[in-house]
Amino acid sequence: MAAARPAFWPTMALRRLTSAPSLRAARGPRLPWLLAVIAVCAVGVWLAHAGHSETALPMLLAVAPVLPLLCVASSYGGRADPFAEVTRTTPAGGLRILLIRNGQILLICLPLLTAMAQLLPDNRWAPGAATWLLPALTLTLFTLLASSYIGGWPAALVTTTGWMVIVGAFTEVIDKKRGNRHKGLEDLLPEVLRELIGGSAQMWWAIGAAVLVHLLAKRRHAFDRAGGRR
Amino acid sequence: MIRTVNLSVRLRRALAVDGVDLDLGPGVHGVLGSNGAGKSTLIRTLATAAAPSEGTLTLLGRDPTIPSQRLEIRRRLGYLPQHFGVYRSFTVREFLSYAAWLKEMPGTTIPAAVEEAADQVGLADRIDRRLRTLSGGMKQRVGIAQAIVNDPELLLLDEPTAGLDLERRGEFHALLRDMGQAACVVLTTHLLEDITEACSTATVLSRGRVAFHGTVGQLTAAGGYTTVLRQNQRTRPRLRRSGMP
Repeated sequence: MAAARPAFWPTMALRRLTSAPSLRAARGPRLPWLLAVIAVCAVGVWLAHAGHSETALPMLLAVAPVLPLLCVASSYGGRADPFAEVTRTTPAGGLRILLIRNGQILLICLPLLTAMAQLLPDNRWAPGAATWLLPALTLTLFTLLASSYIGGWPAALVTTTGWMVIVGAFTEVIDKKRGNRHKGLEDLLPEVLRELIGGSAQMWWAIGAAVLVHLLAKRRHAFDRAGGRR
Repeated sequence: MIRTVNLSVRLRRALAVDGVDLDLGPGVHGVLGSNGAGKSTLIRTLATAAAPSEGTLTLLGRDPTIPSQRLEIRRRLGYLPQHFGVYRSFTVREFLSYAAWLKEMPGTTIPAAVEEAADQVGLADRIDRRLRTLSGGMKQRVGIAQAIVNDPELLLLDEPTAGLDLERRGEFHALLRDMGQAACVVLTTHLLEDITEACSTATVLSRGRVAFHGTVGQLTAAGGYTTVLRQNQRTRPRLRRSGMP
């Protein structure tokens, strides 16, 4: 009798990881969703190149930190999960499933958006393409924490609005610093982003992420309490 | 196994469950009531999906307001809501495996438990079929299977026989009687047949309150469900609302 061919374990592990029902029980990371995200990124890159736009990269960097959490909210809100009513009465249905699902989205969005940033027309003044990764993680953690108080969608909206307000306020401040010599967004946004997510700001984002992880661990039971928000 | 003292649950401004006292042990317990009587809200509260606004609730000797005890309860709980959705691309096996994973069953026991649950609801031959290919009645059986996959000590079923044909209903009653030997099974229903065929006790809810609680024989002696309900509605004022006496 021929001996069974030994399976290549990384392939097996990957298959097992991606086929686990706990990971597949999601509206988000399915083929149509993935194709839509890739198509939006591809069209964005094409438009930036076609228009020779130098603002494309700064614009992407400005919105990228909040993109993953909007994907999370639209894919996993209480209404997006048909099995949510039962899930919330199970021991794994609290923070654990929420973290798994967030991790899943981040694993898809982070490489995709980083690759997109690399493909955009170069802007020598903008911070590096990967600088948004840590802010994205921190804002996602903040959204998770806020969702334990007000629910997933409102938390994502509050975070997104807050981030846009901060970007707008910084733009205004820097414009004033320069004596209102307004030269347009392509002039201001790279400097705003350097202040917000570039260089030394990264350390503050890391500290913020660590603090939020600690607070999230303290609030973990709020995600599985009876009548809790999702 | 279930003990409620003056349990009240508020849905927006209205009291959906109003001062319910229950003490249920092992066995199959039926909850009857007309639409809007508070059956589903009561079941959701017992399943820890909704929070009581007043009163105390003890499940399996534990307090669901304490996080560690709530997790203990949920590991031993099976719940079928009245309306539930499924992941249509999943097979029956995958769906039940996912439910077992959510209930923190040990990984090694999941495959056997999944096959047993599918067998108990008569879906053993369709275990690798995708859920989108199943009929409504079969999906209801999948819902029952996900509730019993962890062999729960506390099984809460909200109108479980809706959509089941006569033959399956008979088999389901037998399954409930079997589970009720060791576990506390609570089911809501509109069908008197479910109560007479499967239940050891019956509770009639009217406008959020217990109108009757006793054995099925006592309910019959009292004139049956409709008589009890009619008598209760005659003697009770309208539904109490927040801020009203």
